[in-house]
Amino acid sequence: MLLQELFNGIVIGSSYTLLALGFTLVWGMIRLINFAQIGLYTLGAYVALLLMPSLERLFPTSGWLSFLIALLLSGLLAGLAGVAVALIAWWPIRHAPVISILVSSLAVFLMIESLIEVLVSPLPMVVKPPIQNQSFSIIGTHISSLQMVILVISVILTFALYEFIKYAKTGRAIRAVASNTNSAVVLGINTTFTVVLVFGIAAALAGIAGVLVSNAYGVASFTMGEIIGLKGFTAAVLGGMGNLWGAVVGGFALGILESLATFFMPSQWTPVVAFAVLILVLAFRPTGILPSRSADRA
Amino acid sequence: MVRNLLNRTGSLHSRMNSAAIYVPIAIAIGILLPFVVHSGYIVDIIDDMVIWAVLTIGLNVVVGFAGLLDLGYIAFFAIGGYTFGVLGSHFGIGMWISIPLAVVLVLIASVIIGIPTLRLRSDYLAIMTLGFGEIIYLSVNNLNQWTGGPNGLYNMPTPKFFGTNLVQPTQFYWFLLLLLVITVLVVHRLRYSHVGRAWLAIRQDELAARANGVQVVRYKLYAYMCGAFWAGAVGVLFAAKETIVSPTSFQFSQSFYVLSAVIIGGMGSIPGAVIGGFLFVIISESMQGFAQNYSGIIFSTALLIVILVRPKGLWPAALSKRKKTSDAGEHRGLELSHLKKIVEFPGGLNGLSEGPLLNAQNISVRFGGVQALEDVSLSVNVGEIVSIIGPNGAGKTTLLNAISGFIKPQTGHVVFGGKDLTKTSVDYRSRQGLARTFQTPRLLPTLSVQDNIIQAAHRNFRSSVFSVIFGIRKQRREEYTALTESIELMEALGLSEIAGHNPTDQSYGMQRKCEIARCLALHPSIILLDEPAAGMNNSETNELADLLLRIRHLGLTLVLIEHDMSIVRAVSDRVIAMDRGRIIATGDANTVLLDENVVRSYLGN
Repeated sequence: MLLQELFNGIVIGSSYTLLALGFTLVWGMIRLINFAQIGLYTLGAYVALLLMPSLERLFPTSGWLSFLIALLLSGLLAGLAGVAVALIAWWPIRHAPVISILVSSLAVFLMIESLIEVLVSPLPMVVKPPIQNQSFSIIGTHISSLQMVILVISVILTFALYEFIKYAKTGRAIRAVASNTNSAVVLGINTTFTVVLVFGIAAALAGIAGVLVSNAYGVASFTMGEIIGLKGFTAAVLGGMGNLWGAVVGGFALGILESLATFFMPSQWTPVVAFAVLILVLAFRPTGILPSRSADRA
Repeated sequence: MVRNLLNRTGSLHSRMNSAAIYVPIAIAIGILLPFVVHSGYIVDIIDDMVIWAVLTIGLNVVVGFAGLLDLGYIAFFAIGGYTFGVLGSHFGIGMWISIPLAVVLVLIASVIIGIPTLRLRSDYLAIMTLGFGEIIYLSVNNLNQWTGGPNGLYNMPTPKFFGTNLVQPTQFYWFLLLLLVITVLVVHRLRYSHVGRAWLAIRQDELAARANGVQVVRYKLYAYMCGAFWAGAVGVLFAAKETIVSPTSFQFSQSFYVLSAVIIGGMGSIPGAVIGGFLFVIISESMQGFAQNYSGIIFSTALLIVILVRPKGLWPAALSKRKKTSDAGEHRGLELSHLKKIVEFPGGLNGLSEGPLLNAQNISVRFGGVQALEDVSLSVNVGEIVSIIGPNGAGKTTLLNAISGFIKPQTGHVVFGGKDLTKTSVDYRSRQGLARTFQTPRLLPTLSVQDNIIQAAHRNFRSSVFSVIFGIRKQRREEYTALTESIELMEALGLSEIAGHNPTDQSYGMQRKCEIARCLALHPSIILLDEPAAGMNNSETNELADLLLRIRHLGLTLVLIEHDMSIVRAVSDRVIAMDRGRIIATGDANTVLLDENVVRSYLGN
């Protein structure tokens, strides 16, 4: 039982990690809590939800193939939308007070929510897991192949992002802008391009997280981003804002905490866990539970 | 006659000119409305407009005045509504008793949320309040035995007023209108008091606010509580009017709508907030005929457009015009020496007439691998003008920051007027009489030049938030004193012409003078000036030198960082030369400027 909940927590925590990585990346660059990302999370979930039927008709034999294609397209589309958000809602007002930029990204978030409400459906929609989803059992723990896929995809993306930030030329540019925008400019780095790119990466991660989480729970609704946004942010704060590994640790820790909390409270109350963690961290250790090392910052 | 009367109230005078026209008209329309409109349906919509106007004004205090992004504002509205809902349907407690109980509850909630969050960067508050809103929504949705879950509560007793049952929209209208008038009045009073000026200073520039003696976290909490107060109070009336409370009224999107109303109306503008609230209800009501709810799209788009194109909103908050007192004429042509009574020293501390006033001992500051200050000691006597010179990067500003509390030195002590201030905050030091200017002037563009000066007098206001709300005599006297002093200071420094203007639009020289006026308004015993002559032309520099000598003549002590050697020669009693975080020479101007080490530090070998 404990092992089961632990595993469920790790799976859902891996999705929190993806969101937290996005929050922490954009925060590291321009000190902005990018609410638009929560909207793009919802967008990602709905793109996959709407594409799945036609993809499954195209590839009737392999449900996983359609799932992966839907996932890829959702990530791509959310990423492009993230770039658009950066160009429309951030770039023109990048010198404005922080509150204006926060509000503009919030407006984008609400715009996406309301568009989905009006254009798709105001009611929650059922997300069918890909066919061929089987469950198997290891030492008394039920693991579905969907859960494995979610975990594997999240972990691959996390590592890919880390390698990219650490070693790629553009990744190094991202770190340079994050540590000091002015010096980065002097070094000939196109900071606008770098920031816009980071918006895109964060959005793509959010979009993919949206697909994964909606499949894990089997339901999507236009307000699905609100609570999960809180959780993703909590995960990022828990690990220390701006700290990549912090987002990973925070994401998994929150997922596990939540799952364990289901022993004590009904599952609809789990958001209380995230909120309580957020209050406690902000009150006692606002820099996060990890010691911050500048090398890991982005 | 009326004009004279208004004149006598001093600070109210100039604002009254425009407000005196609109406010009575608005109140007259408000009172006449139910006699003209007979449709209960329309009056009900008007009731909603008033409710939303109160909500928007409340959030405007939080977002517009203090610059705190609150994304869970509707939670306080929900707590208000459900206080009446739960108490009414379970215990038969009426609306009138629920109002004060709801207010107490929301104030407690705002303190619990506010205290851990408000000391952090203001955007943490955004996510924290988002979470708070979701938790309250979740609770009312799931605590079925108390809140009726998704169905809500509807068995509350009908509110009575002197035996009459309140059921008609028109009956509620009178109470809502009264609440709106009270809200506008109270928020207006707060805005045009030291509390409101402190809020605006925080929103614009927290560091400048601290330097002017504002306890930033405390004032943020006041703003947050003030917002919660109105939402809680109007929440009860809302529940009573609707005769039902259900979770759908308190979703996240509702918080977003109030925020949009604040920003579309105009951040920090009270009429803007009223208009924003009205607009929201009108637009969402006109959506009723459609199959889909387009309010979300309309409001998010409108909000984005306003932020991008017209960030100050439809009815922007205006700068106050130049304010006079009725007897301002007598002060024409004042000499600064007449200001002596302004800078009279507050108790004990500045009773010192000689000897060291400021003592910085063994200060060391290290930024990463750079030793910015190494064991620097500086002692300044009462009435002295001490200049600190040195090439860029010598550590002059760092020393000044360490003395004023902007950075915490790794070692050393700062003793001021016999008190060890090493562990104290910037605003505490400022309230002790330690004033400073900045290398780049940090004036507040949301306040006029005059209001910038009055804001800096923050520490001279002793009256509480309540005395502001009730406008007690002591508070009005403090306001009047600060106003008179601001007029005297502007006369003395030649700022009267630009009193009602945005200070950041002025020339560099003028901005420097504003900063000095701001320091003087604080009733300091010492002023630390960071390159006051930078960007000034020759005649301005001479004027500045003269001004500094006159300020010293009042009994003030000055520490001056300066590159302009003519002013250093003209005013300094003592010159301290620094290089690479150390003091390399000290003495009178001529000795230090000719000192071999000093010359080498500037010119190299």
